[in-house]
Amino acid sequence: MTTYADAIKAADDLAEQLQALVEDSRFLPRFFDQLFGLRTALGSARDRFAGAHSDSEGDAPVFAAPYDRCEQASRLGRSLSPDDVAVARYAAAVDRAIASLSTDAADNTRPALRGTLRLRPANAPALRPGHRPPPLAEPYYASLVKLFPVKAVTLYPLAIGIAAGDAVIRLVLIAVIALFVVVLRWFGTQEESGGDADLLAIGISVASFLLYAASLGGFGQLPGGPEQTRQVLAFVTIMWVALVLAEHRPP
Amino acid sequence: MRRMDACRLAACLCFAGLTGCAADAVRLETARTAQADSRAAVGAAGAYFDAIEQHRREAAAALVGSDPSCLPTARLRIQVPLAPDASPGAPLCIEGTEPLPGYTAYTIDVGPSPREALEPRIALLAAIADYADALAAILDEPGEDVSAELTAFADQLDRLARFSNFVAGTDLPGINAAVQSEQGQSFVALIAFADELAREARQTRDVRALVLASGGTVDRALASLHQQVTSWGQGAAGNADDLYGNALFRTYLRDRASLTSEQREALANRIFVARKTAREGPARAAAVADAIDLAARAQAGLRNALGGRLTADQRRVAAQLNIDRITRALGLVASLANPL
Repeated sequence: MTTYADAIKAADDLAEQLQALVEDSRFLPRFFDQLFGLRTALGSARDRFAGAHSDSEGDAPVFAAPYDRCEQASRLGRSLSPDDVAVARYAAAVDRAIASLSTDAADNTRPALRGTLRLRPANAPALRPGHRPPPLAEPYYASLVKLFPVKAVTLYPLAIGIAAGDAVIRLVLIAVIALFVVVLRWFGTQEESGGDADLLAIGISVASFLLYAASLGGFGQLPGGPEQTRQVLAFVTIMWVALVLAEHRPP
Repeated sequence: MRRMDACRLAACLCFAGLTGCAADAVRLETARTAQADSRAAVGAAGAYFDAIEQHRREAAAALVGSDPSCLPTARLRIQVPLAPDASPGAPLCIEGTEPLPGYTAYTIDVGPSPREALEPRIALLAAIADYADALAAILDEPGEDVSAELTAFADQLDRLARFSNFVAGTDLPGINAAVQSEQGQSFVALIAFADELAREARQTRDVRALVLASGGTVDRALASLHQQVTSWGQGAAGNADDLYGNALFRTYLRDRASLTSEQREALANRIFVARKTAREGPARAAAVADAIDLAARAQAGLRNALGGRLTADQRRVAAQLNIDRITRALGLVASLANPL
């Protein structure tokens, strides 16, 4: 869910942060060449990217990578201290951001799956006062779609049909679907460049799916019969999803 | 007597059309606002884009001036010491050579924006400017001078009448004299008034046709222009302004030992001015965006007025205009009926 405006804004925020560091007396004159070079290269890459694309492209994967890389670099820069190691780490992150802005669209469409299910963090306020307001955190329903395993839910009735009353096959198929959820979300919650998956989000998705399967009698029935099983576990599932969304907000 | 009947008829016709006419006058006023605001938005955005190009040129010059290794070309290859162990003091620009160990090379575009980056913005400005011109062409359509025409017509009739008098030997009143009389003048004024109302109706029809044909395109162009200014423009201006200040700062850092105190002071002053300009960038972009918003609102107002949805103020103006016009028409009719 990344648009032209998101990507450009992320790049502009990073540029703004970098500029503040270029002018920051704590980093002068020792890191000037480094920060000045990065600021100049980032500005040029951003202008080229902004000229080559437009907001008419909508939600395109080509915007996801620059958005992520710029966000990652901005996060590192927020508490940057003037020492060699920290600045080198920050410089490497900015370098990746510049590379993502410079890559052609053809290269960026390849990892289209990566990052599509990741929850977008709410931005830190802009460095320069009087600038644009930070974007809103992701809406509730977008988070719900990303945390609730819709694909697995649609697969489950098929599994019931295949198992045809055989409890062992049913449990095996449930395990297979749960594995599928893990694999899909492993890539879905990774950043575009690879890196760490969001294990918590995967766990939540799997738990949601298992609860859903249980509410349809996937693990047997409660003493009160199928009706009670469905009602109790549906209630638990809904409460689980609602509570987990309230808790699992990105940092 | 027959002339009096004709006058009454003209007056009645005027009254019949008055209510609609006042609304037309209000519509034309909103069209005039939309035209002026669109033109102002195009002017502001055009000037803003021009300023960005100028800042880019100045920034490029300052960058090239900051290091003897850089040539004044549109594309430069710079090397940046990313690794902590990179030896300092290397030349900024490299041409055809590999960067030094610990340095990373970047290709940067400086100076004027490439043509393909500018073209969409030029097309947007042209679309809105064309629309404003078309509106102006309708609104500034010269009115015919009805009284002059009528007088010329009366002159001709008068000559013809005198000729027919001569031929027939009868005593017809001079038509020209009749036109010159106060009653005749009122009659001419009434016809001119009716013509003015008809012209308003015609102009409103033309504006409606124009808005129907290209209003949607202009609305989209204005929205897109707004985004170009706030998203593309603000960032591009910031990049150019920051680069300018940074390049001057780089020159200062490298040359401060060899500069005289006056030169150092002058350079430092330029750096401070550049930093201030850069900080004011968002406010400048916001002012241009406001001008575009104003044009978009005027355009929406025009659509509303054409669709009969007048605001309370517009209704009041239209009502006042109706009263003025009725008074004016009544005055003209009265002077026709009661010659002094």
